[in-house]
Amino acid sequence: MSSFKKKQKKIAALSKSITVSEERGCIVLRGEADDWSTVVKAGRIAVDRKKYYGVVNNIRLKGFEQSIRLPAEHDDCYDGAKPDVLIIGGGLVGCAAARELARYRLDVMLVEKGSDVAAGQSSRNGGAVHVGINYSPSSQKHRYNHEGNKMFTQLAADLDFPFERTGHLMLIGAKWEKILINVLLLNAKRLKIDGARYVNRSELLEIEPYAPSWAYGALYMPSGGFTSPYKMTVALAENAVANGAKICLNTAVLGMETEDGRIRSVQTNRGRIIPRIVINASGVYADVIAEMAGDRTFTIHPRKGTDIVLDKKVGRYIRTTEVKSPITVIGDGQKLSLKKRIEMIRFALSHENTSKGVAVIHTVDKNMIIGPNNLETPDREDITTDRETTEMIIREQMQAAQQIASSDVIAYFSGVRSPTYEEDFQVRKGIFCENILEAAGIQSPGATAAPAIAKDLARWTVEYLEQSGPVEKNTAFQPIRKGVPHLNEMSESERDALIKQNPDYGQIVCRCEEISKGEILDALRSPLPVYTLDAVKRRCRPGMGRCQGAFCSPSVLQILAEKRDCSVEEIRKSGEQSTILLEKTKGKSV
Amino acid sequence: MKELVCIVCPNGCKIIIDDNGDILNAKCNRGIVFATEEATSPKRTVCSTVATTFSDFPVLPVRSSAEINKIDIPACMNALNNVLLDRRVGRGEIIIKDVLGSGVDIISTSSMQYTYCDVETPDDGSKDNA
Amino acid sequence: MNYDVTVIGGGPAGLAAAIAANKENASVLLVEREARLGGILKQCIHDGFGLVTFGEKLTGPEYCERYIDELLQTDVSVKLLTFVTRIEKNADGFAIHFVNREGAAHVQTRAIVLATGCRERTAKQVFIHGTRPSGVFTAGTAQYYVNLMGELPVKRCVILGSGDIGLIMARRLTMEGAEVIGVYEAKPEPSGLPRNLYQCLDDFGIPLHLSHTVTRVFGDERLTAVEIAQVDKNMRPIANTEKIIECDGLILSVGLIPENELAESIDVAIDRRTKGPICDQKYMTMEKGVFCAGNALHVNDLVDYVTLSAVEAGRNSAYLTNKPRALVHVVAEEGILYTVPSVLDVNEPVSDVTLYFRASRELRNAMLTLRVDGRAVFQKKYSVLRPPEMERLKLNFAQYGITTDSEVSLSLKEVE
Repeated sequence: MSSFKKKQKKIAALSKSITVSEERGCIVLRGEADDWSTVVKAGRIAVDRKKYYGVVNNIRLKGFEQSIRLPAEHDDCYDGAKPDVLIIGGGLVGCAAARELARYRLDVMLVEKGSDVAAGQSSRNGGAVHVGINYSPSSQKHRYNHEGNKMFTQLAADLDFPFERTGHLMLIGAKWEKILINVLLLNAKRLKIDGARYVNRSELLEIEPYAPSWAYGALYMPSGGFTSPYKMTVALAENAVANGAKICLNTAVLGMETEDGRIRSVQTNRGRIIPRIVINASGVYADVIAEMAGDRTFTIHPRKGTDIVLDKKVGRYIRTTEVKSPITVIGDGQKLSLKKRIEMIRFALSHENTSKGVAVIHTVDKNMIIGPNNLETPDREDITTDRETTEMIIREQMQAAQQIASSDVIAYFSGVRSPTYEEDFQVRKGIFCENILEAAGIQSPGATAAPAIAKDLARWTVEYLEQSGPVEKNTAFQPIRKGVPHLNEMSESERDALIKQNPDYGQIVCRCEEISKGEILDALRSPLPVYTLDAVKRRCRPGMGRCQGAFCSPSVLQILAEKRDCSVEEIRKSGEQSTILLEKTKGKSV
Repeated sequence: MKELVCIVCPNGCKIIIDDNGDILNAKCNRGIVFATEEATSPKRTVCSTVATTFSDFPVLPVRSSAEINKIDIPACMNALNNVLLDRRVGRGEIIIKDVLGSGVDIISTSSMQYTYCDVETPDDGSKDNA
Repeated sequence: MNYDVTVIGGGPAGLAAAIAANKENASVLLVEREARLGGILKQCIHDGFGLVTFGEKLTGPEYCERYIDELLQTDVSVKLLTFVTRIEKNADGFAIHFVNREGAAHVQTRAIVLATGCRERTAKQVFIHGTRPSGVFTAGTAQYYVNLMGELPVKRCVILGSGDIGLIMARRLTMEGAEVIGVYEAKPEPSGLPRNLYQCLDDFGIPLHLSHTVTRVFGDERLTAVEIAQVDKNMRPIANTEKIIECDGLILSVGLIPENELAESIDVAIDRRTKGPICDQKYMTMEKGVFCAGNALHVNDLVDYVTLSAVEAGRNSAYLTNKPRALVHVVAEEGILYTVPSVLDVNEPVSDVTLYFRASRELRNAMLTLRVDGRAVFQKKYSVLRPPEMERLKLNFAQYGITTDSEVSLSLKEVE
């Protein structure tokens, strides 16, 4: 029986109402299912990385309709714009691509439906800069992660965003689990990942003094690190704008007009745009956008994860990023049969293991983040949190971070990742559409890979545009960007000197994170000023601390209103509908 | 029978007014006076704010100099809504004299006149957090 | 600059401590992070303050301005809009590092009074789930908007938590024209004072729902609804009791936490029940020279008690000696949530100690018993005790011959 027939049979066993076909080099699923897990299962069964471009899973979930969060704005301010490049999506990949393309004398336009860049998964992840030790050598994940990881030191220095290469640890609980480490070390050699090594408990304690008591040893990967994914996105975006790129927020792509395998125009809520080439960096909607261009060969199946942020007080208990090995069962690890052990190792190394395991991460702001979990969801924009999940994560993580208590929780958030069924990136030129580039299926290790992905996207764009004339380098390109200064990390004399120049640096607005009025004003003076509470919070942290903005949001609101020269009622949390203050209590009749 | 919580002191006694109008459970005379008043004509101190023309002090806290009839509170709030203060008053100054003909004044409960700052305060109207 | 005493925080505790230390001829610096003195009382425009200290019913601004007026008559140095970034222990006491609009600098001080107040528990700390819309405010923040900025943050809201600020905001918002649908409290008993329940809710017909909590919030951008559920004894939501209430705001009054990040940075021991520093009868923490007063020490329900404790802390901070301490714990036993102070220094006078305590649950006809080495040495009967209401007790420990070897404990038991 052919592999196609086998898949057909397996899927038929799953549900009678699903049809399987081969179309344009893709395996296509249609029909309706009663529950989401059937949809995902069918999609997984259909995967054949060698024979097909990918799985196009069009199985509908009964009763489910995706509600797309669209901006409230409706005007024609971009109508008729003819950029050389239109980037769809202001996440890490889109912003990194915009910056790369700003190295050329091109008209680069980026549209983002959110009210700020990094509105999706780029602001909703733990910020680990991955090592990528478990990827297959032929995967795009390996290629871009490996290259991206190496770019971080320079990029973070150029763009002034936080990055620390502290190393990652995978902890094991028993001697036999070293087998997994040895397998991974062999893979590391194949992947040319430097420095990874086994450390025993006493070496582990030197790296991570508060490692859990059950940890027998660990795989130590010094090339791992952490960054602030939203600060990184903002840095890339600001530098792109400073070098001439245009970033249009609150702008959503609603449709495309195509002809003869070419995108002729792109319809948005702010007018029709006529680009020469389009870059699809639209995250959870990547397959929808590809479909508009007639270039869809893949399916995004949204995967939700919740992360929990703990107070700085416990931040000191973690220096690196720690994850429990996927085969470690705390307490019962010794009792498993050999067969079960082999099974677990096999699973840990297989493509089916989509979970990276819940991690404990030290953040750039010296907090501790624990999470995320994994939940397949039909809703691409489901960023809700729930009690059961956060309680589960806390319970599970108390094993790895034994010092934490639920009273240390200061915040939690959910993000939706955008994997394809192939569980690999889809970074490629258009197959059925000549003027689109796809950057799809970008999820973990997307933040690490983004700078490398952007390089390819820029190179392919230039190659394409050069077909109709030369593309010149932007000789004025300035790769250096200065971020908002962090006064609380400075020495007293440095700080004093800065305050003497600008007294606003001496006026503390956010007491938990010690952020001054001057720092907030700096964030609003950037090339991409965003006058919302959330944007200020992301750029310089007021409201991210333990009081969660209870003390500082009135002041931040007033600073925003004053700077934008509007009333405080006009300031929003993020989108146009997210009002904060509704009306004046007094003087209505005056 | 009516049950009410005495509010003249922090003790918060649960006072009962029975059907004959007798007051039970009050631990002090002030409580008896309070309960009698609550049963006949309840009174409250009104605490609110009035608008000003100053961006660094957009509203000024005020209160009634004595208690007013509870039923007059909405009318009193209305009177306060129509005030726009254009001078920096001190604490205790009368903002509305004899509000609603009640014989009670609305007075300022905060001074707008402090000049105790030894650090230069920015004059841009922004205030710090509270 | 050198000072005998540096008071951190210019709210009611800091003001009283600075004035008290100044009366003892200490050179005093008062550091306040905001542009105006008065702390949280600036926005507490309702009345009911000062019954114990002044025998009057004052509003928050009136209460604190009486102390500001007094302070301005003294030679206490005041630094406003000044934020303490760090405290460093040294041979002569402490270096207080701060920033303000003039620069970053430090002063030297022999003693410190921490009067940094408290902060509100947030939506995340009570594990509110769902989306992340605007329209969720802590009661204190809502109070700031309404009372200091003259802005209405909600028009139709639900209040979670029956703490006093929540009750007061229920009244305040109603008076300003907003609709308060109800106050929901997860505990089976209200957290606020009876007079606030009466004057803030009953007066305006606002219902109080006990054993109910907000389990979820809805709304992509602005809050559009909340889900309410009944909770069991362990405050876990009971399935199938959920109810959706449409509203544009959720106000949280779910507890206050002393702000002690500065104290912790110099390793001052924290009492896990009060969340404030452990201190002795002189309000000195376990770190010599560091005193604490007001809501930074433990959350008070009456500002009058804040003032009284701060006067003691301020006065004692002026007389710092090198005398070694001999500490005895006052153990909170059955029925007692906590006591302040929780430690006695028997090398110092213990004849006139004011002990504050809270009952761990509502108790009727309760007998308070002070035991020394197992022997009941003092008893007092209370007709009713509720955890929201702090009790104050004057005790003369000198008559009990307490030494460092003594076991001192306080307990509450219901009696017939």
